[in-house]
Amino acid sequence: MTSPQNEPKKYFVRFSRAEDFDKIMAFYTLNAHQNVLPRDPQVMRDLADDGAVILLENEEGEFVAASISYSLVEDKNGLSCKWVEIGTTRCVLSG
Amino acid sequence: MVPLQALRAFVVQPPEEGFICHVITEPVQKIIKRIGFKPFQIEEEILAAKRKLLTQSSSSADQSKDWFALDVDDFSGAVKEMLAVVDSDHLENSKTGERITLDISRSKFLTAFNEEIRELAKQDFNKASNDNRKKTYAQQRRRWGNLFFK
Repeated sequence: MTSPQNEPKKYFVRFSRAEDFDKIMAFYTLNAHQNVLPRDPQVMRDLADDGAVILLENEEGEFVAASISYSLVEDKNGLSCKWVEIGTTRCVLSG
Repeated sequence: MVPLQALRAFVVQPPEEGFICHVITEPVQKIIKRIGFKPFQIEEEILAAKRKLLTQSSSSADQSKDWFALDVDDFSGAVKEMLAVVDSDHLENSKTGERITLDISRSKFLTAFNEEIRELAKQDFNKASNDNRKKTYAQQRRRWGNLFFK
C-alpha cells in the first residue's frame, strides 16, 4: 500500500490571467536569481494579462515555477514579431 | 515549460523567425538541446529589443553568447517531448527521488486544444513542404490552422 508520503505531489500547469500579476511579481522577487534578469514591471503586467506567462502551481495555488514569452523585434504596429524569447524561467523545485 | 511556451506562442502569435532562449548553465543547456534547440548566434537587433524590456537594475552579464534557437523543422518534435512529459505517470528527480505529477486541468488552452496539439506533434514540418523552400513558423501555423479549424 502506498503511503501519502510516497505519492507524487501534484502540480498544475496553466497560463496566466490578469489577476495573477501581483503573485507573479512576488514570486520573482522572492526567488530572484542572478541568471534571471528583472524585466520592466509594466511589460510583465501586460504579458500576464495576455496569458504569456506559464505557471506551475501546487494545489493551493502557490507558484513554484514561471516562464514568460517575449515578442522581440516587433513590426511598428505590434502585430507581428521576428522572434519570441522564452525567458525569465525560474523554478524553485529541486532538479 | 519551454515547449509549452513555444506551443502557445505558435498558436497565438507565431514569430517570423523562431523561438530563442538564453541559457547559461550546462545542465539546462542539455535539457533544451534534447527538446530541439540548437546553438544560435545572437544578433544585435535582438539584444537591443531585449534591453528595452529590462529594468535598470538588470545585470550587465554577457548577453552575447549562450543563446539557443528552435528551428521550425524541430518544432513538432518539441511538442512531442512536451506531451511525453504531460502524459507520463510522474516525473522523478534522480538525485532526490522526489516525484511529481503534472495536471493540465487548470489550463483552458491545453484542455480545449488537446486533440489538435496531439495532431500537431505528429506533423513533420520538414517533410510537409511541397517545395524545397524553408517554411516559417507563421506559414506552418496557418497550415495547421487550416487543417484543424474547418
